[in-house]
Amino acid sequence: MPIQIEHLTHTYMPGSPFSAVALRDITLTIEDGELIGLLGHTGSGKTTLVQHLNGLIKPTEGKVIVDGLDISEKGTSLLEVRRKVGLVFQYPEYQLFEETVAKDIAFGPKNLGLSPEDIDQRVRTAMEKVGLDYEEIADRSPFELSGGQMRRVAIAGVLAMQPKVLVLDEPTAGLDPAGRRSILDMIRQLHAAGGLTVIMVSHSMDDISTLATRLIVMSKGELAMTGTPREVFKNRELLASIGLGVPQAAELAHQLREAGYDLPDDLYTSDELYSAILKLAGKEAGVC
Amino acid sequence: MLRDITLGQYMPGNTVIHRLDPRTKILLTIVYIAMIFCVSSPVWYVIPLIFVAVCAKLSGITFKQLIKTIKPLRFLLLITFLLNLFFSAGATVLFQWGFIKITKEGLLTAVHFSMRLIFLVAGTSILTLTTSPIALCDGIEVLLKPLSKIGFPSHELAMMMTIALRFIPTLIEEADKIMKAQMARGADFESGNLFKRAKAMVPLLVPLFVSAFRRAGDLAMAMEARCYHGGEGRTRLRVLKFGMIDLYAALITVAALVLTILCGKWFP
Repeated sequence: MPIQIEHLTHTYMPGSPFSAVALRDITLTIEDGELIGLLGHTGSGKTTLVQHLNGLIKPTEGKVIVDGLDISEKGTSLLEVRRKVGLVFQYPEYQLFEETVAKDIAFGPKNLGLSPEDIDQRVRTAMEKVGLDYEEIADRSPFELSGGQMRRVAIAGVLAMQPKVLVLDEPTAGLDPAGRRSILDMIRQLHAAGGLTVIMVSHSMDDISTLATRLIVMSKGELAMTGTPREVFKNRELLASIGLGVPQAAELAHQLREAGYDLPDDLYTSDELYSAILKLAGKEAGVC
Repeated sequence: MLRDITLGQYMPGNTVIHRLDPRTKILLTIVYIAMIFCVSSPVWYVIPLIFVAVCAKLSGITFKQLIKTIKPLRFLLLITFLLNLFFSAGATVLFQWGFIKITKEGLLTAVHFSMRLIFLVAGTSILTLTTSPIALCDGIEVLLKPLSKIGFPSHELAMMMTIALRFIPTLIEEADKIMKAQMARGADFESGNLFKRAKAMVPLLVPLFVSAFRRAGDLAMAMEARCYHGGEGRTRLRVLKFGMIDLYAALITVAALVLTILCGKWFP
């Protein structure tokens, strides 16, 4: 179920003195099963772009086609689009509202008009997927959980719609390192289980470098770069010019290379760098 | 969708009326209201009419904008007019059809009360059209200060109003975001009957209240961290000062009031 974006342009409040172009002529295709990292500086249009993917906002110009459904066409059922593309907003825990965790997760499936048995089944599956214990948490109020747990409940609320594409807008923002790691692991597992395309918005290079199969880099509402993490992180200068860094391992590799050490120029994970340095050290030790 | 709402009526500008001290404008608005109530017969609405027209001209407010401020009142105006028209006692019958009768006195009263409403709203709108909400709050705070002697919390009231105004755009943005998030989960805010729609608001209102309370807590903490301790001994960034234009404005307005009273006395 690919997503095709063709010459997408979006202007906020067109025709008024406050009009602002948020996206400019974006063309992209997202294939099934990809795990995409969407990178960009604050205000680069990442959030505007992902809100197009399930029809929350409509293109000013251009097209967004989700599994054959054009979101700006009149007859398109947006509910159908939203069932296919699940969107988890930034700080999703602020959108919880029900008395119990189970009811909150059931909100989406209920809107789809499913039977109570189906809904219950979906709630259980979704909670299991995000690593929450049904017996322990389902009947508690979402407001008495910890920040990390609340975020999982909110993500489960979207997963319960059983989308084909899961979009997460900065899923690790505001979490402590442990919470961060566990959310990232969860995303990895969701994707590894198969059948799910994941698009993750982030501006943390380290979060995304080990996770994504492809990166999309945005700058000032335009598509700046797209490719595998290895291809993208090679362009250190270009990334720096749009205000983004490279993962710490890539940065260290770069500085070592500057200092005259003969390391390959496409390292970006710490494991790779570790073995490369060991290899180099072994060679030099042999020479001495 | 919610983003397109404009807040208040304030039209920024730098005209004489804009430059008047907010306290002057508030007090003179009260004088103006008194003037409206001193008008004795519909003919003498010509004085407030000239007054409002001059103020509007000076402040660059168009006739269209003034009409727009009256528009929300149209049903109230209609009801006022009809009630007075049909239910006023009077001797001179102009028109009769069954039990419905219109008298000359009734017609006069109907016009009188409708004019009163129109001028009340149009005139006071000039205050809100030319004074920023913050300046208004400042003005109200200073004007209410004497009441603090008898325990009236004038500073607290003004601070609450300022904070409320400051957070309206923030809350609108937040509401927009929560609405989108619930729509992403298939929520439908736009269709169904009234009861259904009210029920659909719950997923929006609960998170909005939760976040408003959280923000209030954060703000209180931030204010305390910067040593806020109420109005006592607090100096201000914008110090209000009366100038010559305030004096002229006051003289003109009071003159208009006196003229209205005298006209009512001499030519009732």
